[in-house]
Parts: sequence; structure tokens; C-alpha cells
Amino acid sequence: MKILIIEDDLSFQEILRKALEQERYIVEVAPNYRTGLIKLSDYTYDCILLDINLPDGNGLSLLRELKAMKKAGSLIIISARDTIEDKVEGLDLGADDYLAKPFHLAELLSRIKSVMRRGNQGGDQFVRYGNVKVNPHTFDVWVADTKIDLSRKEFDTLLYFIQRPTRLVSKTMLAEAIWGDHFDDVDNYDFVYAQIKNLRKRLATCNASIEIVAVYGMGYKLIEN
Amino acid sequence: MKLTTHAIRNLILPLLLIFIAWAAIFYVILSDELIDEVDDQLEVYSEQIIRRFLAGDTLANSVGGSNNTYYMRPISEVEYQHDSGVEYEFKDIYIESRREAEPARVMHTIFEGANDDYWKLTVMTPVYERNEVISTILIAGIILLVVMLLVIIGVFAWVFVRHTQPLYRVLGHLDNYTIGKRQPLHNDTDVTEFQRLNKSVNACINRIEEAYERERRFIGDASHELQTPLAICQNRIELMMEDDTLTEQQMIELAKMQQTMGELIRLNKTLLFLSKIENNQFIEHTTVDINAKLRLQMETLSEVYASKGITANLYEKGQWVLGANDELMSSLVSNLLRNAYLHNHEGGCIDVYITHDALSIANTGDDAALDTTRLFDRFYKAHHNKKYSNGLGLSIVKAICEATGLTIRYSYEGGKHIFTVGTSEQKKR
Repeated sequence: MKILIIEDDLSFQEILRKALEQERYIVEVAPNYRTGLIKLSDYTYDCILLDINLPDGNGLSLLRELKAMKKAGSLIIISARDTIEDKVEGLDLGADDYLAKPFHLAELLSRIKSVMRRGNQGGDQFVRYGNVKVNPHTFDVWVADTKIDLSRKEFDTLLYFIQRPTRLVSKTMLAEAIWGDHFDDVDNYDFVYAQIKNLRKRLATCNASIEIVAVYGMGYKLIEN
Repeated sequence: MKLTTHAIRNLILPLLLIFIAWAAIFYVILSDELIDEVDDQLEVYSEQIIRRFLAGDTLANSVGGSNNTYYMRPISEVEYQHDSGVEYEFKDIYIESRREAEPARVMHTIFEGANDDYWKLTVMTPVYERNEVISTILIAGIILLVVMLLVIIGVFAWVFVRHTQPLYRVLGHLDNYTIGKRQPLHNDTDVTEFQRLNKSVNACINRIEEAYERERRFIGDASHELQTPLAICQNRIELMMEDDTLTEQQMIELAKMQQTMGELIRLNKTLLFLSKIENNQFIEHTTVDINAKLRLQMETLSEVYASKGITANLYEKGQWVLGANDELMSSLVSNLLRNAYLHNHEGGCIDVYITHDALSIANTGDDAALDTTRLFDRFYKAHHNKKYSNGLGLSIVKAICEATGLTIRYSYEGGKHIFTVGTSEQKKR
């Protein structure tokens, strides 16, 4: 899978490249509008990460050019701008997703997988790991072809983990993702722990081949047994 | 005291002194002139008498038709030598026709007779008529002066008031000036100094407006700039944590760094949010159901804070629906509720009351009232080391209230901290 990163901040570009190459993606980079345009014209990519604030042009214009070229490939906008107006404009112009800095790398990886899965016509709408498959649209969960029922919070938690298998997820990240933006700064994370405990029990009783394990008291990760 | 009053007061005194001095000098000169004239007449009269006497003519009647009188007496040679000669003086003399004493001008002179005899002659003439003339002239003069004084002051006041109008216009403009509205001064005048004043005032206003604009944007701009370096730092730590060769101790350190980075990022986001609220960047309004938001958030919060054993009650005395920005209202409700949970003690309680135009949240917690003067200040924390509290929660609540036309009040009653949000009309009740 080939990914093009169009980002002018070289430090950030380097981090993204490292994270993606760790996931076995092939990565190309472009530090400005001009180079980005050249690369896009000459080659095809499975996914493009586009920063809007480029030194020699607005990333959104590049997006328009890309759509005009009718090239395949999913596009995710990464930007320091966080307003609803910017997000709507980007998505209206044809971007597949919009990520505002700062974001967790795990989040980026999960979104890349998500847009590429959507991009594949007739592709798999399930998220799978081990013998568990989850349909994010119908909220159905199957363990080895047996459908199981989960509470809303349990489902959200499982989905979050299964979209980031083997990645370390901190309690803070979970709180923010599942309970909302303002619950990542409470003074006590017992409620997160309670939720994980519930989910672990369910997975165990259903004989799932995946498991949520605690990591050094810092967080959790989903692994395959 | 007003400028005009000051100017007039300072004008009256010198003018008055000048006029008085003028009147006095005028009187003295006039008086002297008249007396000189009388003295000349007396001199002529005395010469006539002496000539006639020396010629041996019969002298005119002592009482001439003019009320002039004279008398003579012989004096010794010794007296003649020692006499001072011609002398003038004022004296009251008896006038027969008027049957009383009247002021008169008297002249003494000495002369040598035809027979080696010496004589002292005294001639007199009444001056009451002349005195009356002087009085009349003086009174007329004073009246004229007073009228002139009043007219001068009147004209001066009128001119002064008219010419200081531009000054009052400038003052009025400055008094009513609100920063951020950018109202330039309009003050037509052809007085150079006031034109300069206008220019200076406008230049000053421009400087203030620009500084205000820069400062308003500063926090927003700074927070914005911070986002990329913060992201880079956080992501680098994330990458490092994927390294399997790290020891447990190193992982724990990295995890702690992650936590601090998280706090930094949250603080930055909050500052950006606050700056946007204060710059009126949340303009979209919809119909917002406050009751619904309260119910939803209280449900989630009771789950999140389950371990703290807090009892929370919602009393819906009315339905509060208003036109406002949805995101801001969510944040308002969220901040107030989270504070009620966060700053509460174990087993404490929270009472939320909502009516059709007010919301009130009461919670147990600290045993003393909070400092109302600084409560809503940025970064103010009642407990300095309280974690998970960046001190901006109430500043956000206040900014949202101001942007939405709501009021927020704090009171400490019955051991509970009570925050009440209402509409501005309520405050007048």
C-alpha cells in the first residue's frame, strides 16, 4: 500500500513516515504544493495525507486539482485548523476524512485503514481481528460466527480496540474516545477500568481468540491469543 | 468649575481693577483741571483788586454778583518778610444768599501798598456748583464703566462658549467611546489647535484599536502556533513507546511524559476555545434545549464519577429552550456540572434546578465560600495544586454567558456552592 504525505513541516513529516513504515506501508513525501502536484500527476497512491497550510499554496486547491484529475486514492486532510467550517469545506471538496492536529498516531492509522476499506468497492465492511468481527454500521458483533450482544459502551470500547490492534491505548485516550471530549481530564479513571473489566469478561466467556491486556499500568492493548 | 466660568472670573477681577484705576485717575485729572481753572480765576480776581486798590479806585463790592468775596488786612513788614506768599486752600465759608456755610476755594496773597504799607489779601469763591458738576460726571462715568464691564463680559462669554464647542464635542466622543467599535471623531472646526486635537485624538484611538486587535488575536494565534509542535512532541513519544527494547522503567517515564503532553494539549485547546468565544467566532444560533443537555451530561457524569459516591438530583421546574450556539451551551452545562463533581468531596451531593429561564447548580465541597472577586479570572484555582483543573473552566462559563447575553452568579449558602445562570432581564427583577 502506497501512501503520499504532503506536509511542509519536516519534523512532522519524518514522524508520519516512521509510523507508517512501521505498519509496512510504502511512503512517499512532498514538502510543498509544487512537488505534491508533480507527484500526484505522475503517480497513483492508495492514500494521500494532505496538510492544508502549505508554504506555496493552499492544500484545498491541491485537493480540487486532484479531483479534477479523477485519480483514485483516498485522501485525508491533516491540519492545525480545527473549526467546523474548515472540516465541512474539506469534506465537501471531496476529502474522505479530516484529522486535526494534534492527533494520536494510532488514530491516524485507524483512519487510514478506515478510508481505504471504504474506498474498496465491495470491500469488507467488517473490522476483523482474531475470530471476532464487528460491523461498525450495524453494531453487530460476531465471535466465531456467533452473534453476541453488547451494551452500547461495551461495543464502543471493543470497536475502538479492534480498530487499533496491538497498539497501546491509554485510559485517557479511551475516556476521550468513548465518553467524550471532556472526560479525559477527570481525577479518577475507575469508570474506564470498570468498562474494560466487563468487556474482558464477555470476550472470555464467548471464547474470543483476542484479549485485552493491561500494559505496565499505563493502558491496554488488544492482542491475539 | 467650568472653563468659561474660570475665564470669566479671571477676566472680571483685572477688568474691575483697571476700570477702578481708570475711574480714579479720570476723577483726579478732572478734579485737578477744574481746580486749576478756579485758581486761575481767583488769581485774575486778586490782581484786579490789587490794581484797583493801588490806583485808589473804589473797590468792587465785597459781595459781587458772582458770590466771590474778598477781604484785606494790613500786615507788618516782618510778617511780609516771613509770609509764604501765594497760598491756595479749601475752606467752608458762609454764603449769605444760601444762609449756610458752603465749601469754597480760597487764595491768600501779600502785596506792598503805595505808602510802604503791607497788605494780605484773601479772595474766595464758592465751589459747590463745580463739586456738583464733578459728582455728576463721576457718577455718569461709573455707570458707563459698569455697563461696559457687563457688556464686555457678556460678549466674551458668548464668544468663548462658541469657540469651545469643538472641545466639548471631543469630550463627548471620548466619554461615549467603546473599544472595538472603531468610531472616528467628526469635529469640523477651523481653529488650528482644535484641528490638531482632532488629529491627535483620532491617531490615539487608532493606536488603541490596533493594540486591542493585536491582543485579542494574540492568544488565538499563539495557541494555534503551539498545536503543531505539541502534536510532533506527542507523536514522537508515541513512536518511542512502540519500541519493544525499552525497559519497564523507561516505558513508565514515557507514559508520564505522555500524560503531561496530554495536559499541555488540552490546555492549549481550551485557550484556543476561550479566545474564539471572546472573539465572537461562534455565531451560528439554533434552538437549544438546556434540559436535554443537563439530563445527558448528568447521566454520563454519574457513570464517570461512580467511585466518588456523589448523589446528584435534577429538579426540572420548567423547560429552558433558547436561541444560542449549540456548542457553547454544551460547554457551559458541561463545565458547570464537571466542576460540581470535581470539587465535591466523597459522598457529597449536587442539586440542579432548572426553570424556563434559569439554571442553578448547588454542590457540597469546600467549607468556605470562594473568592468572588477572582473566581472567574483566568487560571484562578481555589486550590493551587489541584490537578485536572486548569483554572479556565469558569472563565469559559463567563465568556459564554457574555457572548450569549446571559448572567452568572455565585453564592455560598447552607454549606453549598451555588452557581446560577440566568437571562439579563432576570437580573433587573
